[in-house]
Amino acid sequence: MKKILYFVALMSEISLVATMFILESFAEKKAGVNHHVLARRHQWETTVFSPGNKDVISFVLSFIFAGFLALLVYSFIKRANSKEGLRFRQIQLIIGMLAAAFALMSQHMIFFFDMKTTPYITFSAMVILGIQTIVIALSGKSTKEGKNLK
Amino acid sequence: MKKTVLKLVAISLVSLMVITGCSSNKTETETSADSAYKAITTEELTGNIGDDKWVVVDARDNNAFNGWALEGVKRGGHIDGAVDFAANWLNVEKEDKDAILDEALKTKGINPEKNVVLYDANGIDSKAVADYLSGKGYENIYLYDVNEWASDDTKTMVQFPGYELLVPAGAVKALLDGETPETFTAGKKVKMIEGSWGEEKESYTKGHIPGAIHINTDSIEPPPAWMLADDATLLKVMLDNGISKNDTVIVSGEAQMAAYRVAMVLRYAGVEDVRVLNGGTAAWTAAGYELETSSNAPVSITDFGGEFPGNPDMVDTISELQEHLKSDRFTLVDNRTMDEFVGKSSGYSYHDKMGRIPGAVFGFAGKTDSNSLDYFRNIDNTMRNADEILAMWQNQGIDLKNHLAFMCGSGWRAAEVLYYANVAGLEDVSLYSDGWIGWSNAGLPSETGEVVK
Repeated sequence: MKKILYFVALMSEISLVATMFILESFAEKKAGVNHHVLARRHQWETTVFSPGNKDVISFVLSFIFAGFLALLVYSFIKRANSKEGLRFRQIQLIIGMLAAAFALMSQHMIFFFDMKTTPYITFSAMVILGIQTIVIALSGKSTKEGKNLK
Repeated sequence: MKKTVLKLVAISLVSLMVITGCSSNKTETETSADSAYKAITTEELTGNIGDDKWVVVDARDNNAFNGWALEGVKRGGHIDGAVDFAANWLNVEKEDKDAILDEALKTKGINPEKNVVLYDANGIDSKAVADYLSGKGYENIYLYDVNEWASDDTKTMVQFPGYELLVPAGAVKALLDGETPETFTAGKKVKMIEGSWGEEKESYTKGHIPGAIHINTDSIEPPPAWMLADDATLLKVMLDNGISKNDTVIVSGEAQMAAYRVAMVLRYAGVEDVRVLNGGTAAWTAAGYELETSSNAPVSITDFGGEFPGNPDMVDTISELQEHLKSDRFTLVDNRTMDEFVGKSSGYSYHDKMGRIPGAVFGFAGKTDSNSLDYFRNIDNTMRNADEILAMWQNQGIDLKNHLAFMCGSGWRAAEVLYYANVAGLEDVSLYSDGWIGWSNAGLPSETGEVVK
């Protein structure tokens, strides 16, 4: 059952990333997509991603990034019985850190400011971060169960 | 000998009969030599116009119906009382084509119970429409050569008052070939503009009228709101593109609405003579002409040549609109879909507010979405019959003697409709450019729901 959930999570994340590329491409070529993307960007930049909110979001993302980093370091330091399970968890932690980093960078780096779909990228990265948090939590539970049985 | 002479006389008589039988001189109600359709004389046609049992149909190109003297006719326009059903509509590839054409027949009162007179100037168009109608069960079909009518100055040919604003592809081609078609000034260079959204690579380089420069609609209505730019920005657009007050300009594009939007802005700016290619670049290719794909760089100028904007009354701002709405000699015509008008939809995926401006009157647009203008265009995207447009508005209770201000979501549909109003002869018109999006974003009062009459 968990393997199915992990697979669904992976496919969802890949779809989100692909969608962002497609959306950015279409926003360059199609007037309707362009108008929609830029209008929503403007709306979100004055509401959800207003300067005040951005600081809060950045703090939370940095905290999550730091938390995942700490867990990753801990996973390397502590030896576990099931290296297979641990490797999987480490990969998920790295993906989570990347998602948090992308979300942070999309709010602060000029490279992302020049893109039309910047807020969409931030939202997508945050969704992936949320998925990863669930996956990491589930994988952490699996590792503990694996240890308890031994 | 006698028998031989008799045989020769008989053969001569038979030959004479055959020759006279094949004569092209038509007599009354004689079946056309090359078809099963009947011919009709000018006298008969004159006597039957206005009779409910007859309908006279112009099968020519829409531009000929509007007023252009095409295919060698002496006078442009259509026979007074005629409706239009152009032969080239039969060649258009479009979804729901049959349903659209059937609706056109119904709207124009063309039905099998009537005697249908089809006329053209080339002997081909009316035959094509006749074959189409015949296939639908029409039996009482007559063919007529409009040259006879047009060359008789006692017969009325109706031209829509502003017909020259919409230009046929043939006239544009003639201009490019160095000729001077009717309504244009000899020796005066005409500037071609391709108006569309985006950089050149989006639409312009896919094909444009030869010699046309590109104007990106984002330059006249910048994101993220796409409201009309301020006058300083618009003046810069004119100068950067080498457009001055005294120019004659023809605007075209694949997406017609964009072309009309650009054309409206040029008129607002004060450019004296701004016209649009009727039917867009599709009309150009349908006429058999090649599009150009290479880029033409504009030559900038430093002096517009007159006051800017030269026609400020062409565009109403929000505050001007609020004042005008107090007058009963002013009508705000809402050119959006019914769903947008009653507040079921905003019409735009990026705009959440729905409704209409209090006092606005529904003036039709498209049947599907904010990109459509079905009620104003023929199947080939040329302008719908001006008489039908005016009748449509009058049925809505719109007083055509009022000053009419056209609006839509953000000014594109309304720009095209305003041009059509001008063609129809309405001069006291303007464009409320910011539309529903500008009004609702300003937090101004709105209403929703069906209009209670």
